[in-house]
Amino acid sequence: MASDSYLTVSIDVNYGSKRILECDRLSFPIGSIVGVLGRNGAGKTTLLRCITGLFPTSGITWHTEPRISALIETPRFRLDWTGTQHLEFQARLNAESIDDVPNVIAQTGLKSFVDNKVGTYSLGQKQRLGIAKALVGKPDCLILDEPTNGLDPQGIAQIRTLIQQLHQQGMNIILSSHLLGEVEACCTHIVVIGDQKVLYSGPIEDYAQTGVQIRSQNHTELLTFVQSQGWEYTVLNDGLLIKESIAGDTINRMCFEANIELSHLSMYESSLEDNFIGELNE
Amino acid sequence: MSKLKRLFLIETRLMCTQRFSIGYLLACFGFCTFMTLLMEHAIVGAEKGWVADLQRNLWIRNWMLLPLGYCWLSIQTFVNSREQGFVQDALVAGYTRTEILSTKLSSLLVISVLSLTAILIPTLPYIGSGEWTVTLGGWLLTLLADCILIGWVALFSLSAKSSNRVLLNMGLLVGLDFMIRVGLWIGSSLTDNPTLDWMGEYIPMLLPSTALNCWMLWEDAWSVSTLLVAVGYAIGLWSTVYNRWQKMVF
Repeated sequence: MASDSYLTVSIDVNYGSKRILECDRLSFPIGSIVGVLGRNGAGKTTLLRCITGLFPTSGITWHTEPRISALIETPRFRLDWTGTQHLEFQARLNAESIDDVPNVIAQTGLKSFVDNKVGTYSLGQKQRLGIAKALVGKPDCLILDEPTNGLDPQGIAQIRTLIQQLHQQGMNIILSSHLLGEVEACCTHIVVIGDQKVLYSGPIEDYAQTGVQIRSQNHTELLTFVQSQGWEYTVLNDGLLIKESIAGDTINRMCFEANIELSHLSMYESSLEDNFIGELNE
Repeated sequence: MSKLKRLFLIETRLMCTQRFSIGYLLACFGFCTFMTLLMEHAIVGAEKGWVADLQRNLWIRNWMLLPLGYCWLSIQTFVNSREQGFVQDALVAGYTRTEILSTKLSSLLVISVLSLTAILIPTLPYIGSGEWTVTLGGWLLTLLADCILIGWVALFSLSAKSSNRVLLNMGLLVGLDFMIRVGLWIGSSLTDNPTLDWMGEYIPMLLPSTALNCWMLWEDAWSVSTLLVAVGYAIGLWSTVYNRWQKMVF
């Protein structure tokens, strides 16, 4: 996995004597958009802070160190400066030429307000300026923590379009969000975090649960039968999801032969939200 | 350009964009020039000469301008740069915590040296004989006192979220120091208790104000132990700040 076509980071994060994140390593193909999911306080921002160096740990090792830029939580600015001053400052910090600043302004659509003082900006405009600042360093990997936080639907759509444009240009993007629909719409990979532990990391399509959903009036008997067959299953509301690659009619026949009458049998494909909530509840 | 040099230039530029730093330097130069001219040419009977002028200017800078200007400037450097995201930007851009902290300290010391130069310049036309080595020693020790002051500000800035809170903490520190000093003095003056006498003699020497006033080399009460206390405070404060800075979550 740790070849040059993958962005791989080893994580061993302790704060004092406490291990704050249980995850050995994350690995994603170059050019992917990675969504970091988790409930409040699960450790999403901690993970992003660790990766960016804002969290004091020596336990982060990039296998091929990328050039990172980040927008963590609400962007902070000096309110008496204009957007252009902020971008020029960022260019100097990143040892980049300030000649590239107009390109970033055009790319992020800041032109109409970039010369106003930041104190006059709306939340959405500040968010865009935060992303623009992150882009000044020409990063290989852009890290965005809740980039659509507090934005109106139009603002969310604009940020989504911008993320997709950057992805098309080959940039790696890691973003955390509470909006599962948002993540489903634009991410290629996801990391699911629960209670300071990485529960899943990989392609988004592999996270979806597919299989055959079955139900019976006698749920206990059905459960005993499925367990006796050694099938991988999940309990769903009032039924079971058989995750094996077995055809529906085969399952039906085997249940019939075991004297179990099925009241429901259907193909099942869950949404990201169903899986995410199910996994956290487990 | 090396990373450290680039960061130092950025930090200095950031400091220069604060009107306070410009105002502070102008006040150091303007007020000290005015006082020097006043004492040399207008006030009859005033102590004249280069040594007296420089001592007076050091008093003006370290007692009147320092709490107003330099302390506030240090607070702005530590608190505002964190609140406005500049520290976070620098960390993400790949600068180490040590580089960021050391450039903050060094850029503040540059302002310190500039302000000391600003108070020295008006006295130069009156250069002459006198105990100038002791006064110049006080001028140089001001750098150590500034280093201690920045250390206190940096220490309070690590836990406080606003500039006003740091300023309040500094005020409390000075107030507490004063209360202990006065309390010990009253205690040892009014009673014959040998323990209080002993405490009244030695504890004031260890208070922060002793270290902050280590520049008063020409004062009768000054001793080598003052210098040792000041150096001890500088090392203690900065090692604490360094350790806490390394462990801080930004």
